[in-house]
Amino acid sequence: MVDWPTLTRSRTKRELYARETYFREGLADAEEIAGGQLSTVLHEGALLIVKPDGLASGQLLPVLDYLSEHGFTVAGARDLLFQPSHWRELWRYQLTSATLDRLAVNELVLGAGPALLMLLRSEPGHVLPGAVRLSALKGSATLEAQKPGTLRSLLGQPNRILSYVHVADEPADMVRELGLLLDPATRRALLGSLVSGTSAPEDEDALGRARERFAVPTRSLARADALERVTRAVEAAGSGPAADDARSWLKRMARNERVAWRPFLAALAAAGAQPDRWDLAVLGTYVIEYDEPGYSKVLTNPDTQSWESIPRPETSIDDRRRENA
Amino acid sequence: MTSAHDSRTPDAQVWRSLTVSATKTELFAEDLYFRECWADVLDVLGAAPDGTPSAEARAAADMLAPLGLLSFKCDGMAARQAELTLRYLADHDYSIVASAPIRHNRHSMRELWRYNWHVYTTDRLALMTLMHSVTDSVLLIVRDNQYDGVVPGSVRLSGLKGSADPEARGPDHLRTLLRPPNKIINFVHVADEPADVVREIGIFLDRPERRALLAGIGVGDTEAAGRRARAEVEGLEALLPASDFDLEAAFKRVEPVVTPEALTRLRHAVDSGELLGWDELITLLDPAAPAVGVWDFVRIATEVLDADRQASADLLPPSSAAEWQEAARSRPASG
Repeated sequence: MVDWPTLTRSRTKRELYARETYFREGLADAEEIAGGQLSTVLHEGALLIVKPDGLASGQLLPVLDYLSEHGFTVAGARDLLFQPSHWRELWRYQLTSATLDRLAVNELVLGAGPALLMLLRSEPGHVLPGAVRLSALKGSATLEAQKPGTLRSLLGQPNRILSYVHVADEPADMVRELGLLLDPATRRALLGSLVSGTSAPEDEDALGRARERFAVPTRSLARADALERVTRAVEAAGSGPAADDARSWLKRMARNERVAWRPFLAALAAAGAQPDRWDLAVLGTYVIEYDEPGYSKVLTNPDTQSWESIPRPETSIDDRRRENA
Repeated sequence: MTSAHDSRTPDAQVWRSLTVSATKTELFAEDLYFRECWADVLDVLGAAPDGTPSAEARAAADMLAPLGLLSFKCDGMAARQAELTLRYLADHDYSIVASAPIRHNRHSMRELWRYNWHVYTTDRLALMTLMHSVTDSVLLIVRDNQYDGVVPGSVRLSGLKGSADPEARGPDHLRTLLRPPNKIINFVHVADEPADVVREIGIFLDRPERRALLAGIGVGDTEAAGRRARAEVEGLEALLPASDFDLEAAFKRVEPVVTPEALTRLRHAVDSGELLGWDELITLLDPAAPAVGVWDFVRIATEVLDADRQASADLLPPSSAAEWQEAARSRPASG
C-alpha cells in the first residue's frame, strides 16, 4: 500500500500519480532499494536539476554553495540530455497553461546543451521533507513573486523561462522524476547512493566534469547579444520577401514587443537564415507570450504549511548508518 | 497578423467531429501532443476558401474524418503480419494515404497508452519497455473508402481491429485473422477516433516528420503512398529477425542456454499458472543474453508474468460506430 501522506499533500496529485507509469515505476524501485528506510529516503531526499541555461550561464557553483549552506549534500549526480518527451512529461501538469510558442522555445532551450541532475540529502532535524524545504528555498519562477534569500532571487534569472534550476516539489515528485528522467539501472544506482550515503564513482565523475566545464559562463544569455547575433544571421542570409519578413519581426522584438514566435521561425527557415541555436533560444525567452489565456495549471505546488503537521521519521539516514556501522 | 496565442483550438462543433467522449475533449484540450499536432494539422490541411479560422478548422476536421491510423508493433513485424494486415485493409476498403518509419522509446509508448497502462503492473511495464522499443516499425495513415459522413474511418477501423481479448472477438476481426498467441502480444495498434489520430501523430513523429506526413495526406496519392508503405515494410522485414511466437518452440530454443533448474522452474510456472516477478524472471531467462532470442523471452514472459493490477478500467474507452450514429442523430443540423 502506498503511504500517501509521506509523498504528497495534494489530493489531485495523489489521484493523478496513482495511475501514472513513471511515478509507479519510480516508487517501486525506491521501495525495493530503500527497503525499511523508505520513509527516511522520502523525508530526506530532494532532487534538483541545473538546466542547460543554468549550466551555460555559470550558475552551478553558486547553486552548490547555496545547497551546502542550507544543509543539503549531493548523494548522486548524472548528466542529463533533455529529450522532447522528457520535459513535456516533467511539466505535464503545468504546461497546460503554456502557449505553443512557449513549447517551441522550451524545445530550443532544453535541447541546447546538457543539464545536471542531482539527488540530494537534507541534513536531519527538519520538520519539512527535504524536497519540500528545497522547493520553498528555491522560490518562484515568476520574477515578481520571488522573495529575497531564495535561490532564484540570488541567481537573478532574467525571465521566466531562463530559470536555471528545477526542483522536485514534494517527495512524490522526486520519485516520479527519477522514474521519468533516468533509466531503471541509473535510478536504482542513485537511490542506492542516497540510502548508503556513498556516492558512486559515476556520480563523482559527473559532478566533477560539470564543475570543471561550467565553472564560468560559456554563453551570454543577454537579450541584446542574442538579438544582435540573430539579426546578423538574417543579414547573412541575403534578401528576399522571407528575409524582409524576418527583419520586420526582429524590429518588433527590438521595440520590446511580444511577437508570434512560430511564424518568425517559419520566416527564418524560408529565408535560409541559420542563427546559432542558443542565440535563437535565448531571444525567444524574452519575446514570446508565455501563457494561454483561460488555461490554468493542473497541479500547483502545495503550501509548505500543509506539510508541517506530518510527523518526522524517527531516525535519519545518518542515524541508521551509525547503527549499522 | 498571426497571433502568438493558440486561438485555433477546436471549437465545440469541431470537437464533435473529433471525438464523442466528453472526457477526451477535456483531457486533449490540455494535451501538449494533441495541441502541437492540431496546430500543424491546421497549417497543412486547413485550407478553406474563405480562410476564416473556424472554416479552416472545419476543413481540417473534414480531411481527418475518413482517416485511420494503424501502426505495426515490433511483435507484428517479427511475426510477419504486415502483408496480411495490408491485405485486410484493402479487403475492407481502406487505402493507404501516408506512412512513416517509427521507433518507440520508453517515453513515447507510455504517452501513447497513457490512458490504458495504469492497469499494468510495474513488471509488465518493464516487459512493455523491452517489447515495444526493440525494433523499428511502420506507421500507416489509411483512408476509408466507405466513409459515410457519420462514422469516422478511425472508428470503423477500430471496430474492425477487435479486442485484445480473444473471447470478445468475432471471426472477421483483424486480430482474429492475425491469430495473436495471447492478450499481451497482439501485433497491431489502431487509433480509436480522429482526436487520437491527431494526438498519436504528435507522439510518434517530430515536427518536420509529422508535417511531411500531413502534407502526404493532403496530396492523397494512394497509389504512390501504398507503394511506399509496402517498400518500407518489406525493407524492414528483410532486416528484422522473424519469430513464430510458438511457446513450445520458444522453450526448445532457449533450452540449450538456460540451466535445467531454470527451465524446470519456467515450465512449472507455465503449466501451473504460477506468476513470476520480473526480477526473478530475468534471472531465470536473461533477455539481454546474446543466445536468448528476444521474442522467445517475450513469448515465455507473457505466460508467466504478473501482468495486471487492480485498477479501474480503461480511462478513455474506445467509442463505437453506434455512438457516432447516435451523436449524429441527436445533433442539431449545422450549416
